[in-house]
Amino acid sequence: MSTQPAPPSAPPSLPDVNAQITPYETVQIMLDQTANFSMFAVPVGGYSDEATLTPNNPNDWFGLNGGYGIDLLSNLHRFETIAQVRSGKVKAPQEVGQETGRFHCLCLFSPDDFKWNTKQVPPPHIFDPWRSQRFVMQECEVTFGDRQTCQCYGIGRTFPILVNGRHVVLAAGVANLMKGTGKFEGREGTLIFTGTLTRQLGFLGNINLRVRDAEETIVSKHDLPSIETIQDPDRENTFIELRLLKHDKHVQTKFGPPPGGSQVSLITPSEMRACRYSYIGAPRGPKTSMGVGQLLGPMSATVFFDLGAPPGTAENPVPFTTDELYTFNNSRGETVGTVSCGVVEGISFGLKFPQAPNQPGVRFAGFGPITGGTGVFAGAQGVLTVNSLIGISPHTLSLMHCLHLVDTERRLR
Amino acid sequence: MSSSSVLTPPSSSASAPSPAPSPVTPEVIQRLIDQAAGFNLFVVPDGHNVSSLDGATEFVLSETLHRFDVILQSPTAEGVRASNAFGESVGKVDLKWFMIPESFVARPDRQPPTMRLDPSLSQRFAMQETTFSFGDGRDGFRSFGTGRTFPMKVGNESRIVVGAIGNLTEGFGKFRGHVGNYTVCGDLTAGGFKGNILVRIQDDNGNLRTQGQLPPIQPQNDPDPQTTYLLWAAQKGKGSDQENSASFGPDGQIRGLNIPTQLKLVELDFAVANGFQAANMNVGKVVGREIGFGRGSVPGASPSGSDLNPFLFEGVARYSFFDSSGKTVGAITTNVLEGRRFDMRLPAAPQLPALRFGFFGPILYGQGCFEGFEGMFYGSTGSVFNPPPGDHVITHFYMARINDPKGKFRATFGNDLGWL
Repeated sequence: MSTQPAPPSAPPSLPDVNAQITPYETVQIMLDQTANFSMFAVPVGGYSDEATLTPNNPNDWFGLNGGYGIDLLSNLHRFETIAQVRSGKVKAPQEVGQETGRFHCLCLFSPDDFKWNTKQVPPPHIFDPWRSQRFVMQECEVTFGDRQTCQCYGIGRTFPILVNGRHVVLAAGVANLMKGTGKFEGREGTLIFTGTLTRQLGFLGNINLRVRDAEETIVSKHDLPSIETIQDPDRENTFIELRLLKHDKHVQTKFGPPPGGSQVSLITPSEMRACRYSYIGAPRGPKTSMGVGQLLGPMSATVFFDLGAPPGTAENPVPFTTDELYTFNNSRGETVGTVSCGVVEGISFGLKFPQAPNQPGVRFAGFGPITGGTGVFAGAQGVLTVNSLIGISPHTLSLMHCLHLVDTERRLR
Repeated sequence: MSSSSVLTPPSSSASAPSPAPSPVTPEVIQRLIDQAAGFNLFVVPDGHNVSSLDGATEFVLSETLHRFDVILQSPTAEGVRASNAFGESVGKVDLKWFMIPESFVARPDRQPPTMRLDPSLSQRFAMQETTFSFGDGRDGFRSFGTGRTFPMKVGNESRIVVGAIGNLTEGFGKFRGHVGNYTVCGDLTAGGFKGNILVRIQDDNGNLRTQGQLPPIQPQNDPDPQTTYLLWAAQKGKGSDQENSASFGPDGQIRGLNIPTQLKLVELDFAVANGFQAANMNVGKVVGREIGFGRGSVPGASPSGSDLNPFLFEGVARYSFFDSSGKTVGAITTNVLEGRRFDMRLPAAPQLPALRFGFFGPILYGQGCFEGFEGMFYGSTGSVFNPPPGDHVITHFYMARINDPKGKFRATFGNDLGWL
């Protein structure tokens, strides 16, 4: 009897995620039919003084902003960045541009075990800036102009960290587009954000919104007007925007060791490329475009989820978590740094393709803390966000990720 | 802090369909709960370093107590200021403090398991035994309590700020037979604890207080010039804007209580030259308004609060300070993360649902003159509470510990303050 372990293969009960119900290339095209907004949120000055959790009952002081929730209002600005690996360093210049809209989010803190529930307010849970706490994005709206809105529901989490001995609260959230108006009417989409809760209880950071756009009414076929850069509103953080795909259809996804219960793990290798996600807030509705840049290196992710759960819906998404390793290589293939992180709050939704009704897919998004780094990322702190669409059989990827790195010395700029 | 904490009184009134008229007037109740010795201590380490702060499991030390006077001035258009006078040595405090796991239920008779301090995290600790000895050591008290660390930066200095609530377990000398509590706020340093302790001891028989003049404080060099303490009192005023009200959640259930108070100047003092003697608290004019929401921290918990099982509460409040024209010059919003409430019996009116409590939490953000400033908020309180529309009589001692490296909130100390 051989003592050699069996070669890794899917147990009999597990599906073959690499099979091709629809040709791989076709699925890739369908997945990439999304309008991708990478935005920068800058708190509206003075809003915290009037913000309340109970706007309909100002004499109920449960609504004092900052107590049991935070009422965030930020201006949305164009944001563009494209990372490069050169001379043994990773650089990601940040350009924050003109104002294009607003982000309003009423966040109510919740117990850790409070489930996704679009119809229920969480029980009161006081904000403790020194604890990582979950919150519900009870009312979340992105607005472009008067008529273009995305109303979302989601969940988030705070991540208190020390930056050079200073206590800083990072916050990240993931939300599902529940109702759109204007060009967003009837769309499927996912919003994620990561940034800093400022001392005045505002949100400063990156918001990535990804909306399905098979008709290409939001995605522009033409170059967008250049960004009009304003003074950098955030000199302490750098955001690296990434697009991740499989190298080609021959790259196999494998099942990893089962983590327990009905959960499975999928080990998914991909390539990460620098990507400039551009958008404008045009009078007739926003437009987006995407420019893919340098190959930065491999990314390996192990995704944990319940294979037996029915496809996620707006009312009942399927949770997932990940462990991820981002490896940044120079042009000679030498590693200049790695980032370790993982999604701790992830939600997924079943994805259908009108052009290929039998082809299953998943739209998913989430976030989690950066847990370590090497090389140029040694000592890294920050947050990972993912905003993704994938096909199942074939396991095709279209991933929009952001590495939010605390960068007070601007080493990544 | 909304003493809303005090959602349900410990005695009979909760079950009454409507509050029976109190046989004791609010004015009398106010006088009864104000029969207390309130005073501020400042603790400084004696120079014996804990071997290493990072990874330390316990702080077993003897430190020096100093007299500490904090006098808030009437707010002006320029802002809010207080003098902080660090005075003469008045005794010593023996600490036995232990870091504890988050879920550990601390009790005086339960030795905590070993837990290491991590300066990057907010952690709990037990004040397993803290003994205060005043003057020649004849007067003082032993106590038990719990608290938390809060990593923070003050100026360019990283600090481990602590907040804690202690309860008197046994008095000796003049303190024998008294009940009381205190709230700690300061820094854990390699030398030990450095900071303020705001004490409130019920003094129904008056033996802790003197009607006479206390010797003036003997100012010493300030051990923490980067921090400014602001002290004020809060009491209920008259009129509809001072009425408590229930806060209802979307399900129609009461989720807590809204409690407004008037903010007032206050003077607390004590000395030990002739044995421990505290001054009567001197509550002055109205300088602001509190709006606050509070609730019990543990849903369904018993409303009573005992020495071993205090009632736990939390809440959010905004403290607005007015200048002489009534214009708001600054405000702070604070979250009380930990509150401990103890039932209390007033000998002259034992039927009243009397309470005493301590609490602490962060200053979340500031407005006006407080914009951009950080710090801690804490206090000690005596109260008689009946649910709305019943009487609520209260005197809070509130302290804001502001990270103030440039001294924006610091007034010059003088003996002729004329603050009232």
